[in-house]
Amino acid sequence: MIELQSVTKDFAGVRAVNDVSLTVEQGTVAAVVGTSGSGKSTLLRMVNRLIEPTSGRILIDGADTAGVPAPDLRRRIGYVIQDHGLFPHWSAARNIATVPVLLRWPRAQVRTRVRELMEMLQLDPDVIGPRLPHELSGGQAQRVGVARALAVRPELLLMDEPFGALDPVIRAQAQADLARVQKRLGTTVILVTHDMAEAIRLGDRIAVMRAGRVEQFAAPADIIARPATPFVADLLGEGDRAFRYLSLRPAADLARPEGPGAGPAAGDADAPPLSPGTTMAEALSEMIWTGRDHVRVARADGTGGTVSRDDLIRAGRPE
Amino acid sequence: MRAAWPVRLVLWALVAIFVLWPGLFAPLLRPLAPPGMPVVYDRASLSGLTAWHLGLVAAAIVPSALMAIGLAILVTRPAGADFLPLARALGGFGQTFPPVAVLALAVPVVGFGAWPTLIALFLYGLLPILENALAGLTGVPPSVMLAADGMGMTPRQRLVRVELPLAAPLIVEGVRISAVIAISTAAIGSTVAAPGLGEVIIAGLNANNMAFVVQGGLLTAALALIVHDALGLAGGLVGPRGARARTAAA
Amino acid sequence: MNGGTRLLILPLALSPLLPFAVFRANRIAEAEPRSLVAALGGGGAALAVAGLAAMIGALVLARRAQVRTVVAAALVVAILLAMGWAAARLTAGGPPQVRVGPGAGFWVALVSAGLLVVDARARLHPRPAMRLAIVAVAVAIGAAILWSGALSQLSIMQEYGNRSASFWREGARHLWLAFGSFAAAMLAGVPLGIGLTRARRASAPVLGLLTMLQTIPSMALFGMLIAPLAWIAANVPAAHALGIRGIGAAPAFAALFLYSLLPIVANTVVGLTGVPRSVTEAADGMGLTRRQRLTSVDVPLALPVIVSAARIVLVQNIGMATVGALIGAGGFGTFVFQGIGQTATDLILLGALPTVALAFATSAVLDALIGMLPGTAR
Repeated sequence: MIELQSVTKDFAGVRAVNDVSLTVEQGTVAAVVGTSGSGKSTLLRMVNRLIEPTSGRILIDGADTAGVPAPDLRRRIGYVIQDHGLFPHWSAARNIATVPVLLRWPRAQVRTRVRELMEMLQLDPDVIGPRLPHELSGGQAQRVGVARALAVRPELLLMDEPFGALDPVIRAQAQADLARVQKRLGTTVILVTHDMAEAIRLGDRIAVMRAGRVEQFAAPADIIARPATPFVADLLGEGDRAFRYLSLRPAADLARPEGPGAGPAAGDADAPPLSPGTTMAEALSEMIWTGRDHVRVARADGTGGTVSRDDLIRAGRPE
Repeated sequence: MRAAWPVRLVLWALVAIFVLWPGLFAPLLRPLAPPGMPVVYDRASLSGLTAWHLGLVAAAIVPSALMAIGLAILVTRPAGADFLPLARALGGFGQTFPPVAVLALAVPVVGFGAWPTLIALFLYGLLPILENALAGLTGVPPSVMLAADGMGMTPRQRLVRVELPLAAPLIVEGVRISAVIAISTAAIGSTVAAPGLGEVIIAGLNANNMAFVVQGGLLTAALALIVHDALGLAGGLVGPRGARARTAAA
Repeated sequence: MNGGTRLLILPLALSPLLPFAVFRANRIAEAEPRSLVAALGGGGAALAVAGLAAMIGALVLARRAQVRTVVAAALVVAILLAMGWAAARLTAGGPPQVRVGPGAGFWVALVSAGLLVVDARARLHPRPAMRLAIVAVAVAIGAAILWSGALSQLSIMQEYGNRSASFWREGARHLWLAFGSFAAAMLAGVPLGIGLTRARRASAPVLGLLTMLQTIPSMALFGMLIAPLAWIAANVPAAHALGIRGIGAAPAFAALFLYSLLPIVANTVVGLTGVPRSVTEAADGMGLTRRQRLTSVDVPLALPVIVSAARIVLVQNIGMATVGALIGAGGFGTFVFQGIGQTATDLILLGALPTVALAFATSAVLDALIGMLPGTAR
């Protein structure tokens, strides 16, 4: 559990972060969203003490981070930055081994760990491992950066615009990979981004920052349903609020069991069911595009169900 | 200049043979010498003069490089950041100072012989290395520095593992520039009685013996080319290409 | 007060403890040190130390780099004038062959003060026109001090007095060697560079050859050019009529010309290939012919890079022309090597100091010019 208690940072008289208090629960993802200059990166860098707070305390599992020498603290915390910051003179594998080597792990253990991480992030250790950073594609470099940050199984992972330099297709893939890896490892993540859609997609809780202050800290559904300030509403974009809300839940939640007499299937019984992970927003989009008012959805347990358009539209408006 | 290995080996062999058995080349030089004058420099052995020449250069450039790199490290640390503008200005300033002037100005201070040459070579060697080391150390991308700190490297680990290796190609290039200039200045050092190949050229000029001038000139030129080329190879080894070779070996 | 200032004030403050001047019974006699008190007299020394203390105080207290630059420059002038005064005092009434030159204290003070100017000036970031003005003012002040006769009793000025005619002759020869070979190299190098951007395949070998030439030590190249030029002089009557000889200015000129080629050709290539593709495509799209594009787009855009090559070449030539004296080419090097031969320090300085001043002034002027060219963002 990470606790920020009244954290404030002044740079030469300018208040970059102003009295921020947040708690991030174990194993969850907190997304910090804001425009540039809102203080979100500064806030993140105070957690691993790349920047020392002017006042306030930061606790990890109840222990004040100020009590640990900064390099020791940072080795326990994973850190991913936008331009990936890979060391240009080291191969991908050596980059991933950075912190284990700093901690003087035995060589064999380092090698095993690097292989394990590369496989987890779908990087071929024999092909990608010996390459230098300038020989990697943007997506590969980004994954190497994530692998490097996860090398010693940190309980906390800090990510500063980690997908900012990627093109949209690769970015979506990288976001999905991160979500998968995070669930598997149970790592606590603090993710800084300027992209509200990314925050909604990845965050369990979202902190919206503006001018050094947190304007709202809440679950995505709450942020969309009840933006606390006009700035938060602006950042959400009024136009596709309903779709954002629908994108939070799987369509399967609204599925009614299929069976004889369960209602007309509008003659599309032959159409293959949508996959279990399909969100309500995607299901509605499918209906609009194909002109149907029902779609079939597969459930994780193998059974199927039918979702109706009216149910989806009702679900798009928070109670 | 990426001289191919055969060319390189032939040059090395030619220089070695010339230095060890200059008599073999006497027939080639004969037409250049006035009748009755010696064809091969005879007041000292060419091998001894070559050794002195290279020795002076090494004795000046090694401490020069250590000091310049040390200074560059110092002024790029937070504690020394205040001196960075001065170091930069000095680096640029010193490049403007003619090497001959450094040599000439050292004579009044320390007298004749090897010392003024050594001092001139040392001082003049500092600046190109300092300038290149500063460029290398300040040129490390900010994201790489941030990542090094963020990974939990101590300032010393960051310097040794990240900053210096990344600056190394530029530093070696600075050493290369300094060494080539030093070979040239060491030749002029013979005018203040420093032992070296310049002696042969000057003896030739004084006695109007072109054979001396040409053999001294060719040898000095060959030394400069060999050192230039060798340090270019060294630069390749510390660069990204070399990084991969090291990784593959590990 | 910044670190640079702090570092330099220490030697400046301690410099009065070192001998300010050296005294010689004649121009090649052993030098005897003279302390500040002996050089300037008790009252003069007190005045000098008080003045120095006041200026150091001003440097420590001054917040603005402009103020520090002016104070440090004034200090340089004051140190020079004090030296002239000391020379006048110490030679007064003595036999004419007595020589008084600068001592360690003078050099430490002068170098520290000079570096203080450099340090303060580095924090100013003046605009190019301002930089030109600074160079002009510095040259004017220097000339005024020399012409005023304030330094006339100083040993180096007495050396000058004995050789004023040959000084200006060798100076003109030096300029001709340095600037003439540069001009010739520009005439040959820029077209060669333009040609290399057209014939890409020739580019690597030509630049490799020029790099090799530049690597050859100056004395070796100067010497080795004697033989071929002597042969040309002996066999080509027209060349002989032009004054080309194996010994003298011709091999020096040729060597400087060859050394100048690499920076000029390489920077021309870099400058021309650095013109953004969008610009050249726009030029082609608007129907400029190849020649029009070259003269109205490519060359103007490459100009800053080419002019910075000119700076490198001129500074390098001014220094290397000194070596030409060894093969009878003349120039300021004549005094340097004569001085070395006679162990006459002042004669060495008479050759070395103008060379250094010339190199600095040329470098500063060209730096400013580069900044003034359109397209250089500063």
